[in-house]
Amino acid sequence: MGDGGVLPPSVGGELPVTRQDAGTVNLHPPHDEPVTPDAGLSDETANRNEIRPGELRLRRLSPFQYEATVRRLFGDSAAEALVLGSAEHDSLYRSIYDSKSEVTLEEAERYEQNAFAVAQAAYFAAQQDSASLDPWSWCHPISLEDTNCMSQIVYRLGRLVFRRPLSQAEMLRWRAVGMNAAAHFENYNAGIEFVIAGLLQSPFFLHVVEIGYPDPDDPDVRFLSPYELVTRMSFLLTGATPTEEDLDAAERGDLETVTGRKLQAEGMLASVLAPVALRNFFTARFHLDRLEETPKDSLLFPSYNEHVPSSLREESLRLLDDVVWQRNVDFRSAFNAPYTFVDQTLRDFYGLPAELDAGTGFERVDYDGGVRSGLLTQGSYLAVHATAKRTSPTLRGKFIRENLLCQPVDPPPPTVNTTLPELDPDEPHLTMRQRLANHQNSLLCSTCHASMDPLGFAFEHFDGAGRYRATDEGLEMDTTGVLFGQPFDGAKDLGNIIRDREEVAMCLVRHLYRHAVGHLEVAGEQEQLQLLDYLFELRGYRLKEFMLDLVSSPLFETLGTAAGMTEGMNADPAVFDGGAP
Amino acid sequence: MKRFRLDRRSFLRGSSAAVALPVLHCMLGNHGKAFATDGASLPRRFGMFFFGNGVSPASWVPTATGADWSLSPTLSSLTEVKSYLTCVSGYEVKEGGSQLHHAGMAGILSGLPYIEISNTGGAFGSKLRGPSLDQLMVNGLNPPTQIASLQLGVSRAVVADEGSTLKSISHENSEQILMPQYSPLEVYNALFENYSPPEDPTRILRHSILDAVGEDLRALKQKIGTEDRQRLDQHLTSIAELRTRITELPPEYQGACMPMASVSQENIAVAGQEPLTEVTAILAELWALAWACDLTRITSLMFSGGRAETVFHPVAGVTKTHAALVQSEDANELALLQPIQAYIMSQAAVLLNKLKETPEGDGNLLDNSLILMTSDCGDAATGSNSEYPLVFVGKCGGAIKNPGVHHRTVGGNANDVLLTALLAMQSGVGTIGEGEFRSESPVWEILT
Repeated sequence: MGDGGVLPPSVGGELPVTRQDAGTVNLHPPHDEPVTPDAGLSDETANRNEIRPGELRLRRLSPFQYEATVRRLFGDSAAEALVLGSAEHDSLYRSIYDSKSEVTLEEAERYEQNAFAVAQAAYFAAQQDSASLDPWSWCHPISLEDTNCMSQIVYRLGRLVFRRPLSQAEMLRWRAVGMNAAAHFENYNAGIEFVIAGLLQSPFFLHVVEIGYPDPDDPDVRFLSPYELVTRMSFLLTGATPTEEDLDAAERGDLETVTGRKLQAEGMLASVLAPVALRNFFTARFHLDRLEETPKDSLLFPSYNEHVPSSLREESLRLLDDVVWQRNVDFRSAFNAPYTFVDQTLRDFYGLPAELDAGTGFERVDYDGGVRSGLLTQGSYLAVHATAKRTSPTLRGKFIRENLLCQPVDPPPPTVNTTLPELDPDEPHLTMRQRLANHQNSLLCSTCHASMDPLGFAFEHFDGAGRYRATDEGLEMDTTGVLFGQPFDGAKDLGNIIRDREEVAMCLVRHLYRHAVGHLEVAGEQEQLQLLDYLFELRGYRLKEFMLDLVSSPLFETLGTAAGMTEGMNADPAVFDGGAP
Repeated sequence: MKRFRLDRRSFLRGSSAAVALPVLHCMLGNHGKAFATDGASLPRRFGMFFFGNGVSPASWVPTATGADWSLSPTLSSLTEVKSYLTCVSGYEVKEGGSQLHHAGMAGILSGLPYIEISNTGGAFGSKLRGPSLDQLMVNGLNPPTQIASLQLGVSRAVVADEGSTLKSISHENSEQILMPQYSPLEVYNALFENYSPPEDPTRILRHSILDAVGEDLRALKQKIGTEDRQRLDQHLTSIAELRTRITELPPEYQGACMPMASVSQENIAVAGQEPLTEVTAILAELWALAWACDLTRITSLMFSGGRAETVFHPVAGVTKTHAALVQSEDANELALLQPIQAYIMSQAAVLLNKLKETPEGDGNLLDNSLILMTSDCGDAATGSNSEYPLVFVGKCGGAIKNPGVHHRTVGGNANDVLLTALLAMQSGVGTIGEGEFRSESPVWEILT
């Protein structure tokens, strides 16, 4: 990205107007995420001082968003009634790509079952006066044929579920579902239940629908409607659908100004859901959801018991919570924090002294020197990026390259056997650096492995489970290397270098952006992203404050178009097949 | 628009496990209580298990009475259903008549003396004076099932030429006799040939939702790009497939009503030996299915007929008919009677265990059923209709004491026992018998 050094002139004067070139940073997405067709716009287009947004696409709610949304709308009992298959957690939605998947028959069936389960749970909760949302109390029908009452309920429910007002046609369509059910069961309450069960199967609920309205000056650019904007903000900041108050604010026009938008975002960040939503983002970013998929050999690592994986995940999330929410400090300090959070499970695992007044929960412990500091010396990173029996300098280095620096590494050639041969027990033991020497000696391998393995060697004092070891079965280990011209010896050194590299902050900004808008950044968005890089720096890399910048960025309210869009040029995004009710 | 009433039963039946299909409060009890546990909302069912030639009271009647009684030697194979058993002893079929078996059978089935008929050649014959107990239940309850009542038979070796009394246990009246069906295949066909699984009562409404979802999808398609349109087309296809899939209740809502594809067991004697054990096993399954699918609520099984001429070959040493053995003067032959009675009870256990294994609501079929086990006489070897074998099985929806007791009244009127069944079943029939043996007082001691 050679044009990274110049800020758009439209930016206000409080910001520096030039900055260092992004240099070696390659912000192409890693391999496991697809490249959109728009990724390679011509230089001429990219150099225009305008936003050229990525393609407009529908995004399905992830299981996390689906559950959080149901919980927010219909309460805990409804969320607990959901059946979210583990298969969905494992394979679907993990990346941006998955949010663009198709609804299969099995998923349609699952959506239906869940919709009815939610409707029933909501009704039971309403009967016990414990409902967060009680449509049964919204009006009192005078008869089974009372359409006015059903209209009120469908309109208010529909606005919450679809995150926008319903059109006239939608009103009639969903009211008919409710009236039919009420007639069939001779029970108005049942009619309301069927309305809930129906709306929750609509594509307008199951997707984040962003159609926007066109920029009158530029047919290729669209702007989010106020409802779409507040929805995008809510899913980013709280992981869930907007509240009725959020929708009201959007309807009033509160989000039209940057000040108004930031105020609304501050309210969202104050929600108890905000830390949960960010944890969900970090869990994917730092591969914390892969701990259970990376079993350890119980003979080699007897202290890595069944409780360790979830405790390791919690340790990392506690540190991130501490940095972002409790202390609201420079996010990058997570990479060299001289403390961590452990529970009794981790005290046993790490071999720390037991707490005298042994609590069961997590407590902060300071490293007081020692070999560890920051996220990359925590067991979660070390254990996930290793095999069942040994360390993997390659995987540890690859994570840093791809996930922290946004520098993708090419996959190995298909003809190469990537399984490291077992050591011959009759031969003298070798360190990992010795065993992987072939990576460096072979031209075929070294091109890529030179960028990964040396970084991974820095962590060789931590075994495959993440425990400290002074030697590798008696052999001294060489943990030195060089990153961006800076020499390091060991994990602590490397953590300090990583903390200060601008690529790390820029990489996080891009990941947050992809997470927020649901597509990979394209060339036409780079200038605004670079502005966001500056803002992140300006905010002292405090994530909470940066989130306000992110949601008030022009990028955040801008959409591209999609190939084959026809009627999408309609000026009113809220209207689907009919006028307003 | 066609209205329908919800068949609550189809949702109550054996579905206390994982909820996989929409179950709305409106399909449940009035109090929104899923899968009612009180049993009162489940229908009560009545059954008869009948065998010929009576019992030997010494090995049939349990020694202790009250709640703490133990199975007698002859009843010992009923351990699995012991808590469901209610034993009534000492009672007597008081309707007299010259013929012990005719009098016993007519009396215990109808509470009335038999009507003597003249057979060709002047041989003795009889018929019942009124409906049998199971048909009194049918008349009183008028069950809304596909089949009003089901008659099953195991041994075909019945007395065929002495009128209708001895060869059937189900009589609508003196002339309308419901003969047992001996062939498992015929029973299967009667039950399932025209059977279709219950339809999801929410089908129409689920369709109406999917149709509305489809319209939302088509409306959204107008607004988006080609790739997303293709995704929504796939969603539309899924909706259409789901629409066709929603027709019948899925297995988890059919509970135990999962009929086998066919039956092959025949009820034909091979080398003079009837397949008693094999036929009982399949008829027990069909009985349980008939109840689980709510095809009928009243079922009788005649294991062997009045004064049965069955040869109980599965019992070691038996080569003569049961009727011949009870008439025997030979002590060795008489010694076979108790093992035969124990064998009959082991076959009753096959049926009763099957009913108990068949879930219904929060319990099993026996929780809501009442089955009367009895015979055509008291003690055939001594020619007596006192000490009549009378055992009830089932809780009858909470009407019968739990666990069941052994109640003994020496010389008691067997019609009191029949009345007890009629009351427990809430049949609406408040008396049985006539003249001096008419009963208006049930055996209160076994009722709750």
